[in-house]
Order: sequence, then C-alpha cells, then structure tokens
Amino acid sequence: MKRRKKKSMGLYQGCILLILLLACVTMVYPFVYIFSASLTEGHTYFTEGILLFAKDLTMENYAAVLEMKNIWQSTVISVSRTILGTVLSVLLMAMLAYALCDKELPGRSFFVKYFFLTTILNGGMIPYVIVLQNMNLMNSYWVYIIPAIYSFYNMIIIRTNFESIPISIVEAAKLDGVGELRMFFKIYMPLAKPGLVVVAMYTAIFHWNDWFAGAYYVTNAKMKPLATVLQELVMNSGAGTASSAIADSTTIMAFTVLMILPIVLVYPFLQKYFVDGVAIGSIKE
Amino acid sequence: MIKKRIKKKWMKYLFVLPALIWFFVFCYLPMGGILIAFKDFSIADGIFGSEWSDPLFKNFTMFLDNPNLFPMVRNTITVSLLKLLTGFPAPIIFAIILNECVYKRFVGVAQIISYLPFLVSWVVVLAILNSLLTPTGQGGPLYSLICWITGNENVTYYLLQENWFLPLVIFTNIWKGVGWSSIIYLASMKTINPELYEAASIDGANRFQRIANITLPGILPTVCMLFIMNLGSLASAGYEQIYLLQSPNNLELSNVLDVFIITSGLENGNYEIATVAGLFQSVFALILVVTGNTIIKKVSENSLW
Repeated sequence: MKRRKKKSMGLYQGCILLILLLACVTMVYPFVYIFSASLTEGHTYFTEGILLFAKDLTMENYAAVLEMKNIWQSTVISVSRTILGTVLSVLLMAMLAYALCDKELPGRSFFVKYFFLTTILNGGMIPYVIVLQNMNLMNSYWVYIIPAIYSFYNMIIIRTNFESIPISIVEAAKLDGVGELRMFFKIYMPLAKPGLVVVAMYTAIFHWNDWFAGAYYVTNAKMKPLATVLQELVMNSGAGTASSAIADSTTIMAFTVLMILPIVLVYPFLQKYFVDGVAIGSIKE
Repeated sequence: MIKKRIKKKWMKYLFVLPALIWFFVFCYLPMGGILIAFKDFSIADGIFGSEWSDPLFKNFTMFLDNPNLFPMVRNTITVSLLKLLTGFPAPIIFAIILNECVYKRFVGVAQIISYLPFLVSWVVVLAILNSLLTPTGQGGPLYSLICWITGNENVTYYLLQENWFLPLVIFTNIWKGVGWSSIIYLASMKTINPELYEAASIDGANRFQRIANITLPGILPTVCMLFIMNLGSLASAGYEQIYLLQSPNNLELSNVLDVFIITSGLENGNYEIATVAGLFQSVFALILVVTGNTIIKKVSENSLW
C-alpha cells in the first residue's frame, strides 16, 4: 500500500515537473533565440536560420545599432528619464504614503477617496492629451517625467509597507522627540525598503519600456527614447512582410536585446522583494 | 482642538499637496475635458472657449452612425472577454502547479523565469514574435513548428493572417502575464495554515480534493478582489498589444475602440469623436466595476470598497 502511494506520488510529481519545464522553455526560449540571432551574421541568419545557438558569430549587428542616427541622444533620454523619473516618483509617492498612513490626520479619508476615485473614473485619452497640450508639456522633456509621477496602486504598496512598521519603533522615536522629516527619512524609508524597491523597479521598467509618450507627445527625433525608436523600427519593418530587409532584421534583434539586457541584469536580484509589492488587499479603508 | 492637530501636522499636508495638485491636473481636469464630446472643438479656442455643438449631441449621433461602430464594439468585447477568460485563470492554475511541486529549488528558478516576459515591453514581444514567425529564409522556429503541426506547405505570414489574430492575442497575453500575476496567488497560498493539509491527508483526502477544498477556498478572497479589478478591463482590448498586432489583413477582427481612439484622435485630429468613444469606454468600465463590486459584496465579504 505504502509503496503504491509512493509510486503514484512519483508520477504526479513527474507530471507537474514536466508541465513546469514546458512552461519554462516556452517562456525562456524566445529570449535565448533572439539573443543568439542578434549575434548571428545577417546573411547567414537569412539563408540558414538558427534554432538555438548563434552561427557565424559577429558583433556587426550591435555595431549597426550604435551607428544609427540619433542613437546616443535616445540613449541619454531613456537612461535619464528612467533615473530621474524613478527617483522623483518614489520620493513623492513615499511622502504621500507617509502622510496617509497617519490615521489621525484630519481629512485623511477625503484624501484617500480623492485619490482612489481616479482609478475607477477617467476622462479618456483625448481630454488627457489636451491637458498635456495646455500644460505646455508637448515636445518637452518633462512630458516623460511629470505625467508619470504618481500611481495610486504603487502608493498603496508603499503605504502598506509603512503600516507594517512596528508601532513600538515609531512610538519610541516620537518619545525621543524625532521631528517629522527625520522620522520620514531615517525611520520610515529605511524600514520600508522592500516596498520601495518594488515600486522603484515598477517605475523604472515603465520608463525604460514606455514608447507611447515618445511616439505621440514628442515630434523631435532627437528626443525620442530608445523604446520609441524600437517601436518605429518594428512597425516599419512591416511586421513580418517580405519587404523587411535581410540585414535589418538582425539589427532589430540586436536592438531588442539591448532593450531587454538591463532588465535581465537587474530583476533577478530584486525578485525576493516582489511579494512585498502585491499589497492589493489593503486598498479597502 | 482639530485646528491644533492640523497645525501640528502641517508637514504631512505639505507632503500631500503635490499629489492633490497632480491628481487634479492629470486625472480630474481630463474628466472635465469630457465637455469636448459636446463641442465643436478647436485647439486654438481650448476646451472652454470652443463653441457648443449644435445640436448638442451631434458628436454622439455621428459616433453612433459610424457603420464601423458595431464591429468595433463587438471586436473590443471579443478580445477583452477572451483575454479575461484565459488570462485570469491561467495564473491561478500556474500558482497551484508551482505550489504542488515539491522540488522547491526548481520552483524558484521557474518563478524567476516566468517574471521575465512581464517585464519586457509589448514592442519587444512583437519584435521577438516577428522573428520566431517569419517565413522568410528557412522560416523562424515557431513558423516551422506551426507548419509541421498543421501540415501547411505554403508560405504563410501567420502574423498577418486574420484567423491567427485571436490565437496570437490570447497566447501572447498569457505568455506575458502568467508568471507575474501568479505572485499574488502564491503569496496568498502561503498564508494557508499547513495543518489543514495534514488534517485533510489524515482524513484520506486525495491531492485534487485538497486543492479543491483547501487551496482554492484559501485564495478565494484574493481571486474575488482581482476579478473585480479585472472586470473594468472588459471595456478595453488593451491598446498596446492590439495596436502592435494589427495589420491591414486582420482589421475585420482587430479594429477595436482602444486603437480607434488613438488613430482617429491623436493621428487624424478627430478629437470630438475620439472623446465620445473614450467616454463610452469609461462609462462601460465604471458600470462593470461597480456592478461586479456590488454583486461580490452581496455574496461574500471580499469587495474592493
């Protein structure tokens, strides 16, 4: 009896392992493929194709990306908006979260409703764009930064992390006469590191990946972020039509890899914090 | 008394102030901008300076008279419904499988891998899909696989085929979101008391009974909450994904409200009609979320507000 149980256990776990393995291959193979393709010589890629490993190893495709027009300006835009946008967002959202986790703050419930309402009501795309125009944000670098500062859900993640700080620490600091600013920077911020890290990562990835603002709010080619440049490349290559030039396709792959690389290099180190970033149950007041 | 409290906490109000202004400008002002739907809008005159349209609902009737309206609404709902029906349960199933696996080190690796698709942009997804599906040269690996399975010997651009549009939408949607969305369910499974599982084993419950009677009820509050939040998405097909997968050949299925708003409003300057379309979408989403919340509140305690 016991033996039979063990055997069926093995079969069950085997099936589970197989499903997981299949899922993993499906999710990781496309990335391996594009990485290998980006290192394959353009003509070889076209005539022979690749399956897993690169053929005729070359850095030509990357060189072609680096020789693209305005590529350095775009890189500066992408990197700077990612850094500046993330720092500004996290700081301002943490400040808001700090104020809102004070349950005795007069007006608190009004503030929470005021912010929450925007998640279920919105004016739609066009009025939003008109507002951007009226704020003189169109064709300005700040259109990348300012409209992306706050996100209600990210703020809630930080607030939940703040709320889990032991009351005793806060009380002790209060007794020591710690002022508001020091309380925020020296006690709340360091103790809520997991939540802040997750929100910073969300925000940074949003900035790095966002092509929309560059495509519709900015006309100057020198001010387009890398994500928009890639989007234009992909759309103009005709999404799989025969017209896409041979050499072009491997250049696009090199570009794609350059867009993925920073993410791949950073996120595995942060993934232990991810669970702290899913504090959805606490929106309720 | 309250005055004193407010005075004492002036710093906190200072912390809230930028957010109050920001949300007013970028969320509440656009709500006022809905007035555009009732106006003959010109950029030079602005939202308030523009003339009221005559008759007042002119833009609405124009929008409703559009022969493409019905197919567009139908496509939007088809895409969003299919995405919800497949994309919502997928991470729950994935989380259960991860939770059942006893090789914890492998589970860790599988989780890290499964997050990656979520973190890259739709543009990257399309660029990769494009190369996997290309029929040029030897054909991409996914192209060869599909040809082999279906026995297709003609050169086919699957990305441009109408009958491949919905399968690709569903597949890429699951592929991108399944790992990331499973985090919240796994976190919620961790809070289930392990003694329950032991007691169930002693009572002779098999694996599937344990999943059905312990795991699923344990994560039900989380499932309800996320379901309400996802209901609103039924009103939109997801602009980025559909815009990038759209091609002249699949317009019959891929012409959705989200893309229409951007192309008619931002690309063709048809502000009023696009505003009306956006208003319809917003109202539809609001009704869905509020109804979903009310129903779930009635039958359980797990409402969003």
